[in-house]
Amino acid sequence: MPFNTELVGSTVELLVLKLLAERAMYGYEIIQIVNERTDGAFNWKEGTLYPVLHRLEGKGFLVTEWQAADSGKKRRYYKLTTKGRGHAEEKVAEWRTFSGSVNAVLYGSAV
Amino acid sequence: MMQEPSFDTLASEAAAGLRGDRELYLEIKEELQTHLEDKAAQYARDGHDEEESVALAKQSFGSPLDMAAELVEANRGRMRLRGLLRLGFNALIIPLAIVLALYVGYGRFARLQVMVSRFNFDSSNPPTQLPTLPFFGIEDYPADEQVSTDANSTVGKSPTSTASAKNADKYAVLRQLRGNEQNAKEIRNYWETHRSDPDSNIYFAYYTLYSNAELPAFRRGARSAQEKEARYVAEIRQGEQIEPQNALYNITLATYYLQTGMISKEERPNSPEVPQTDEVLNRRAFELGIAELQRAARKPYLHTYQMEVLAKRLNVLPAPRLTEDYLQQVTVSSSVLFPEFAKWRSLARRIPGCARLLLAEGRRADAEAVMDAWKPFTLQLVQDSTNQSLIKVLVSVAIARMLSKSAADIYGQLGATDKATEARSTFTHLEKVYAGWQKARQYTAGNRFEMMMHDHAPILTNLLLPVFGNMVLSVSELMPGRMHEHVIIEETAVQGVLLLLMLALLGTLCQGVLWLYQMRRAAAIPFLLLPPAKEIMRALLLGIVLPMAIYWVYSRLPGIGGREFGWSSDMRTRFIIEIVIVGFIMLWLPAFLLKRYIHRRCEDLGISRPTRKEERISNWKVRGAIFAALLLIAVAVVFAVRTDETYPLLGATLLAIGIIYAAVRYAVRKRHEHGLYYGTLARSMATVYAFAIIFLSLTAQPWLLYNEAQWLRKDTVCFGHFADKHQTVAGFTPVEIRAAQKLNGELLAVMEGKK
Repeated sequence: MPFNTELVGSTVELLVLKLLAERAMYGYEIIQIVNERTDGAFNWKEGTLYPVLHRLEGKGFLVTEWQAADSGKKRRYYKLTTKGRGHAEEKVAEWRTFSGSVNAVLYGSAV
Repeated sequence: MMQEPSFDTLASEAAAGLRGDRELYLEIKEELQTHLEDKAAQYARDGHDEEESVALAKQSFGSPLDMAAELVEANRGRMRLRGLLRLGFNALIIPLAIVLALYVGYGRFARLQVMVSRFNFDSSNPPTQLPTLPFFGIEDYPADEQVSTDANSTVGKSPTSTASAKNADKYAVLRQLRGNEQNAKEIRNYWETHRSDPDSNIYFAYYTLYSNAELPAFRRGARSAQEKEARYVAEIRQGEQIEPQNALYNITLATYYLQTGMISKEERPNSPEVPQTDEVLNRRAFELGIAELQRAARKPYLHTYQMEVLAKRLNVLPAPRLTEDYLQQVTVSSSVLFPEFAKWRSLARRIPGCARLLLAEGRRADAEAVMDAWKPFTLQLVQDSTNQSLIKVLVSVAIARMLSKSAADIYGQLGATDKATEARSTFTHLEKVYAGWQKARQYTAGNRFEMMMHDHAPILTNLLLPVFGNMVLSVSELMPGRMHEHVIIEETAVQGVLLLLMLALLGTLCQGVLWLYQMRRAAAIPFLLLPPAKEIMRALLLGIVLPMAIYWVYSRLPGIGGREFGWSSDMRTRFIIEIVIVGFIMLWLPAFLLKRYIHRRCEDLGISRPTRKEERISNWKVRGAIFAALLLIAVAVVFAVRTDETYPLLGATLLAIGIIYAAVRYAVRKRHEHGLYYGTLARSMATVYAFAIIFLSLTAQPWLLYNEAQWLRKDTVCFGHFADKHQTVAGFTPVEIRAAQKLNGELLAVMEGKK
């Protein structure tokens, strides 16, 4: 079921931050993991991901580093900064409260 | 059929909005291209063939134009900030580095130039004077024309009527009291202007020291030698009227008359062909000279006022801070303290001659009366030497020894046994004083002390201490001078490094411009990479701060750093090697570290660069060509000098320019495919050179200047004395004054009959 674009757009930043809190990743890798974990429900495109990554980098939440894979191919890895890690935690807490509130309305409980 | 865009084209289109920031554009383009390649590879792994995989990757990428708009929006703030940083670097950091390097270089040059010009006594050919800069040593004084205008305007007015008149007046003290014959007239004018001052006698005494009968003021319009003499004598008599108790004026006249009236055998060249006899040249002057000498002997004191004049001159100089300031004060002191010695010696040599001539003429009473002047004259001289320079005391010792010995002989011939015995006894005591001083001068420790001096004293002390004589100094007493010497060498090394950094900076800027020009058609514009602050700090800390700190700590460690040894010691080679190594590290390491970062970034951004081998071969070819060109010029210079022909030199220079031009052309052509890399490298390397210049100029240079000033203040052997504005002695250094006072005290005790 295709999701509303605005709904998807509002969660990209949160998901990117949460994924990068696990480890440093490059853009294509992030898209792949999101697709895998949502079982293809979130079909992110380059135009969805990269502007968000660059905006976060510009704000100092992320830093980048080119690293070579075993194959020798170099990729641009994104890594959370300390500031970014704090921001990620805030965003997750915000989502938890928000989704709890929505669930409380929809289902009568915050689950 | 329209050709499908490649990944490169697609990525370029998507990142097109970022072209204003070449580094960001290349980075994001490279990122998107890698992304597309990864995606195509995934499709291939899913079973699609290569063509399909590529097509699917492009298809899923979507519209590059939409993406471009999104990316511009996302990077707008960052691009603006990076643009400002680039502008700041190009418009502020690089000019600041160049200005600072020029400031430091020019500041030092102007210090030396002003110092040299200050001591140019040739008023007909005044040197061009460069303006000095704040922070670098000697303060500037008004230009000569300004001084002369201001000085003239003060005549007949109160010298303190206006601030400018006051300054000009102060400067006039410095300038016009400068001791030489050309300035005698100016000194007299100065006295004339200030004759109502309570200390105006100082100026007239100083004028007397530098005046003589041959000055234009006495010669001009004089119809005869007598008239000229009369003018001169009247002038000196004026001094006698100003201060009747001071023997200075009678001694001056006695010297003048006896120089005109006679020659003593002591004045003759010591040669078998020259008869060693006394001779009257002018009877009238001879008799007048004797009379004047006897009048001088009756005066209670001799006062040359050199100490007072020196104090006046030093007090109008700015407080000394750096070496040049102290050297200026030394030169001023020399000009005040030294010049009258020749007159005194000349008179002293004539006193025994006078007595012998009178004795030969049978005027025994006159001869004895003349000889009786030896002791008052010597005593006056020794008393005037109190708190004066060592050289003045030494002149007094020499005169006292010579006169006491001659007096003993002449009194013996006259049959004045008591006087002869007393003179001989004085001579014996003086010989003991002198022998004691000589013995101390040879240093009781013998060669061991000389070796110690060679190893531990600064070069200047090694030159000065033999003059000071009885000073045996410890290693720690020599330390300030030694450290001052080390600091001067370190300053020079830092300036050398700054100069080389400046050349490197200009070289990289020129290369950057060259590659910008070369690559303009290829649309591969070289750009300035913005190294993160962390990278620049790392390069500066590891490449400059750390080597400097290690050198500073290591070199000051007692027993290891070698600072207990001076530059004249055998440690010199080690010091030079240390400084060269540190200088080399400071030049090479920051550049190496940043170059490594730039190489990495170029690889990240997909900027192709030559292999190391290609680069090395190309570099050596260019360097070889430049070396050959310089060698050619050197050979041509030698040939031109030997044959006195300039054409070969001109030809060789033109040929060398041609060779260098061809080498550069070759390099540019050969490297053209990597022009983006070379241009970016050159423009980006300017960063580290600029920061290194700023850092060194603002830290190492002021720190060393501060150290120089501190060690100079503490140095009691070579300098130090002048830092004290309230000094009451007219010597050069505290150590010298110590030696002078000791010797003069012993001399005085003998002359006053206390020994």
